[in-house]
Amino acid sequence: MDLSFSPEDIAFRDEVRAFVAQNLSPVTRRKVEQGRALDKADVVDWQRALNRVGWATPSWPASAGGPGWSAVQRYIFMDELYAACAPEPLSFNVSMIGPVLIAYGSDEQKARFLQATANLDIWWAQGFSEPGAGSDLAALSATAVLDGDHYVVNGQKLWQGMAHRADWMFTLVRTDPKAAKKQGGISFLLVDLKSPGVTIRPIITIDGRHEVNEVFLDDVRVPVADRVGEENQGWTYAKYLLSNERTGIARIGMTRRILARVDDALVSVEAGLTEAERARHAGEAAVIEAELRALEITQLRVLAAQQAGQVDPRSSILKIKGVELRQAASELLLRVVGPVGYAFAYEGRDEAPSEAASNYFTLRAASIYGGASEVQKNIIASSVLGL
Amino acid sequence: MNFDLSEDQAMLKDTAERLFAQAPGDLWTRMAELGLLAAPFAEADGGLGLGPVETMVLAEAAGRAQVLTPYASSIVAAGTALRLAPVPPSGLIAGLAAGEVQFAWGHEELGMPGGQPRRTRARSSGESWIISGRKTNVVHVAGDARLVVTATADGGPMVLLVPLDAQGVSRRDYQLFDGTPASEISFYEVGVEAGSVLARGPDAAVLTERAREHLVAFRASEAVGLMQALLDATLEHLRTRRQFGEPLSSFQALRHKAAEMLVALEQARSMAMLAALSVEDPEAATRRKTIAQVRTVVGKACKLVGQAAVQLHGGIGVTEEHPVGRGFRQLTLIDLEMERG
Repeated sequence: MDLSFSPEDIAFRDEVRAFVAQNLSPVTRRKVEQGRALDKADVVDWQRALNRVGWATPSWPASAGGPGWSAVQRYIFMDELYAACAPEPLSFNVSMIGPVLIAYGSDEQKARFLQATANLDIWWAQGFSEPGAGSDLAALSATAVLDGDHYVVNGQKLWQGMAHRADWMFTLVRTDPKAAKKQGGISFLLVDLKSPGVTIRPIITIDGRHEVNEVFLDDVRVPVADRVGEENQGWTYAKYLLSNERTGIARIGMTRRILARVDDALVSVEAGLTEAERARHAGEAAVIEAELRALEITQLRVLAAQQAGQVDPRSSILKIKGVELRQAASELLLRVVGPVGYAFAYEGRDEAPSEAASNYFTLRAASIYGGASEVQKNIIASSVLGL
Repeated sequence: MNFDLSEDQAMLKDTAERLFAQAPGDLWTRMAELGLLAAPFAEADGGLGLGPVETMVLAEAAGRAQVLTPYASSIVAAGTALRLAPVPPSGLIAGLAAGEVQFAWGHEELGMPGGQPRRTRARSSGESWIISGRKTNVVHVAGDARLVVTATADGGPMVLLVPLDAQGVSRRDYQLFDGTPASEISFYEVGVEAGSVLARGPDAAVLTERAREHLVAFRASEAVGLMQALLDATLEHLRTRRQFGEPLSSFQALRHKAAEMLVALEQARSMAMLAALSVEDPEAATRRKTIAQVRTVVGKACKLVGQAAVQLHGGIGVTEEHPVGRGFRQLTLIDLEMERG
């Protein structure tokens, strides 16, 4: 039993640290540090800077143009990004559609999309959820009917993060309504969002921000060549995508950043805290920090198992606990910053003096997306505990 | 980086689990025969020279079997004070490692926070020291034991040995709520020879802190074993107990509670590992912070898992004879110890 990194891993960490220090724009860094919304250019510029050295796609194998890193190297890389207040590589591209194309895409699709996806020449949106299909994703009802060498797609998709910035959307549609199981008749399509019949409407969430959208598909014609894998096998690819989405989902570094803001706020004059309040809040922060330390070890244990080639369904623990701590930290921050935190930055207005409220409201969604905490508990009960 | 046990550590785990699965009578003698009492001590002192990971393995096995042993007080706390003393008393360590000399850790005092100077006083008188004071919740005190006592001498801390049969020592025996035999030990003008002092001044402060840190690491791993035992029992109960015509495991509220138990247990397991890997860290400040975090996480987990195990067992969980009821009391005591430090 040994917690230390190898000399090679430490050299790698130093290399990543130096690169981020030299290449991350101070403007982007400040936004991430303060929890502010990023502009499209912030994300694109950073992704391309990473891609120039081959680091934009941490989880991709070398054969697909990725860096071919070990699980430990990926952990170190992400940890360094968080610590330096750098944005994550765009997850829709890097963690979601990329691995699906690598595993199941045709050679033509790989040639056409992979490099553009890594370089963010194409910004992807995720078209999974629908008004009637949230946690029960397989209940989706968008349809695709074959017409020559095209599918004609109709339906409504919901919660498309950043779809207003996106060029393409990967989506799940029903191609066989008569399939015996609802999971059986689903196909995985790539939709060019410039196609006629696509309408994107913004949804402003309780954080005052425009991040998610609803996407209407009315007789949208999608070439059969833009279907990933086999017809009616889309559920298999979707499950693969969702399992990738869950790795690294503890987002420990992000919670650390919120706790750093709590530390600053605890000693700020504006917060106007009494000694007793300060002591109570500092105690709460210490408890979150201790739990975060434990989660870091838990994550390393899951990584070590992955490194040894074992599949560890305990990654659901990372999601549940990671979200719980991020939510707790954001709530604590909101309580600590005091009246300065009541001002709000609505979409399209100037930034607020503190993003504490916005961050708190944003993070309420974290226990809903990516597999709600209740769904994760169901996974633990059946896959880990054998209930 | 790896979290696997070495081959020898895995063998130790097997040995300990088989031993603790047997009837509890004469457990200490059998632990001595298997060399378990010698584990953490230097080979020169008759020990096996094993480290905190081996101690963690033993603690977890003891917790899992829900056995009460003097190991934490005797080998871990008192033993740490002996082996890390500026001049370790080789003969006594060899006796402890062989199971021939009994030791107990006498630190806790009523009304004194764990990290504060002790009210028990030692004053010098010629060639000897005179001790007065009272220790509470000293556990597993054999009739012929020697106590490792923390005290205050000349305004500074001191750690010294007091034999239980010395003139002026009295004891009042009782039981803690987890079933552990405990004693209140009073010292009235007890004279001990100068050679009984293990450490004075800053050395004594360090020695006390180190002993208490090792105790936290041990109890954290014991808690992990206990929580695993309670979770296993709870899962078995959920699978087999039927109500409303269904096994309890079909009810989502109960499945979710069980999942929450696992999350807490795995967090505690991570911290018990971290404690074992940190407790010999030479940096005092790093160690101190880590141990404080271990206490926080493990204490919370003890409470969550213990309470949930009782709740999910229903009525049978609140009976004294049921292992889950007893396990809950054991976890509750560890929770309180973690909070107190």
